[in-house]
Amino acid sequence: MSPLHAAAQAVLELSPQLARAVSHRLNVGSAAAPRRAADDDNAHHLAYLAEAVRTGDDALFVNYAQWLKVRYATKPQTGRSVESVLEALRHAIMECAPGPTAGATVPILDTALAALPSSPDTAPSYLDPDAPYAATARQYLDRLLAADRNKACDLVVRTAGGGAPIRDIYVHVFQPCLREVGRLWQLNKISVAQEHYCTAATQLVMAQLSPYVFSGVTSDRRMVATCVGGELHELGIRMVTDLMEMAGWDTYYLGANMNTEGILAAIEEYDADLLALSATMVYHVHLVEETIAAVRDSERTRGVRVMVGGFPFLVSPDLWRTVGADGFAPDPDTAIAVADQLVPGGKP
Amino acid sequence: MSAETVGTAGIVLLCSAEGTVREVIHDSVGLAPLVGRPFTQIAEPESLAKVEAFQYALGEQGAVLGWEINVAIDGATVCMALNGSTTPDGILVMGSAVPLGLYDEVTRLNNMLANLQRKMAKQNVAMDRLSALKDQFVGMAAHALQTPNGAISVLAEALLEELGPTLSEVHREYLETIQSSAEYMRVLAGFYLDAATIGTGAMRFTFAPTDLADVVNRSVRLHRTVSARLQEGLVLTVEGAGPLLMLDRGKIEEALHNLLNNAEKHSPAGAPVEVDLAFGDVSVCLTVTDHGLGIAPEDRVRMFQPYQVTGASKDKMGVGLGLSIVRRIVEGHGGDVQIEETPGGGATFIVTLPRRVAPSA
Repeated sequence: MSPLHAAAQAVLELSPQLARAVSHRLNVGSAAAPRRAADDDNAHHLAYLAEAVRTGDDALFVNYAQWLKVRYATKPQTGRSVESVLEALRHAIMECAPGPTAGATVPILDTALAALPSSPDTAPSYLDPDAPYAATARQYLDRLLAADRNKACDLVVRTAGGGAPIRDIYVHVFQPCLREVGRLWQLNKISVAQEHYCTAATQLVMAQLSPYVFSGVTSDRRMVATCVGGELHELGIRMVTDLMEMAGWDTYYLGANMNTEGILAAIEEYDADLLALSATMVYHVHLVEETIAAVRDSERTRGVRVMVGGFPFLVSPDLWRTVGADGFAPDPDTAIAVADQLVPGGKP
Repeated sequence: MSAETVGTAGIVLLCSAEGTVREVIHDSVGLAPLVGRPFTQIAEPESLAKVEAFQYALGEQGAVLGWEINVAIDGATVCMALNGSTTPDGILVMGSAVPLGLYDEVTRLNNMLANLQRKMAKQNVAMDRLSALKDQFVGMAAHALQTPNGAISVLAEALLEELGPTLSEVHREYLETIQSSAEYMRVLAGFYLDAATIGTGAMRFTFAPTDLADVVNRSVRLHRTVSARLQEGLVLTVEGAGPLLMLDRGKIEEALHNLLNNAEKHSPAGAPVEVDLAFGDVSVCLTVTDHGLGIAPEDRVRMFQPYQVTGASKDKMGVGLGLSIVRRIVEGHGGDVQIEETPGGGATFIVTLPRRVAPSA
């Protein structure tokens, strides 16, 4: 077992003891219920910490600490701050597990503590007023939230007609707006019905942009793209697929309801060089893995290269290797670059 | 949670002032054991901040309604609308399941439609390209046929002239049939060439000052001489005098020729065909009226598309290109062409051209 794995395992094994020590340090008191809640919370923090230690990726915990900061900011009644929690964790580990475990964990806690002052205590808007097309994105979202899809559509179609690249509209208008919609739901500003409306309307708008996407020029590099697990979040992978089409690939998007056999059949039918698989929900990752295994197993599809993307792969940077993919792309631009690497110049 | 219970399933929790669950009064969604734990633990990790904000708002406002929170139940997510109220000794939290299934299904349907639309848009573009290639091919084939066809026609004519007197009646008829067939093929090839030009959108116009009345007059006279059937039955009326207009003379002649051919083809023997030309202030109107079977209203738009043959003309020779060429020429002049019923039966083709007066020299 590697030293990092050993340290991670020690954190998990000592978790109940460490959790109690942290609660004690935070003066949670001895009443059963709050005590139990605090212990549960602390065990949760430790699980994240262990994951960061095991993967050697501090960012996993730093990101979590930043999220905790936002979370604590919503409940000032506890009088607790994320800094005090991290300090307590640090002390508990130094006390209960000095040596290699502390050596592997304390630097991560310190990095997280150092990052906290500059991190926001509210979840920041995805609409950055300094980003390109910021005004368009703002207007687009306002129109969608006012349930005015026609005006939202007009705005985007006019922007494209005015010469804005489709890539910029996808990346700077649709993407931040849809993320912002999710954030607004978290803030209880909009309902789940509005979320679905925004998705549906954006699909309609994308359909209006198809004359810009398809040129009819055939390419000798073909990609089949799909989403696993009846996934509702299809827009991201569809945008990637469109942008790949515009980058000179012959693309076929299958949707989320395609079973593994259907995916294999499509790879064969289109004689695809590349399969792009997307998952948004963490609990769909195993489906990505199963699909890749089936692709490798079948004689008909063995040669196809596989690229994956989606939220779980962003959170866990090495997950793409674990599921057996040939590459991973965190965004559409990278997707094009990775695809070009995986399938350099068309078929031999 | 089955589909039948969606919308009615929910929870009622009695909690301490701090939010620790004291009693689960009602639970029809199947929560994990919760007594003694904070009610906020019903939320999925991603919704933790939101449920805590709910609790905070509850403390501040005394009552909060309709917060949508994602609740984890047996590994699945149920969206709940949470309502809360403070009571003298604690808080009451009530949640009812939001029927997400329907929203999700509508979004899935919408996704499927969007995917089909994408597929169709891609196929349409591919088809447009194929269609343009097809037009190119038709154009090239029609063009290539004209040379051998011309040779057949000219040589048949030469044979007729030189050997005519020495040939038997039957053999002379053979040669005449060869010659008229070659002539017919020349007309067809011309049509195909025009159609190919229409498809590729490559029809070019050269506008020059043109006396439209003169063009119409000559075309009508020419048609009288070549048409055995019409002759004096072809009646031309010109209303008002027109200035020189900016037109493509050759194309207008072609359009008129096609319209007259069409009218003749659909006229019963002895029935007249009327051609009227009228100069208005902003437009010029040319009508060609026949007294044949007419064209059903539902067929009128279709008639102007290539390769359309109506029942009435299916038994007559033709490939259904003439009217599509007329439309392309008229539209190329910024005008339009329509079909109306002739009073008493028959079809009236109405060509309207903008009155683009040629600049005076």
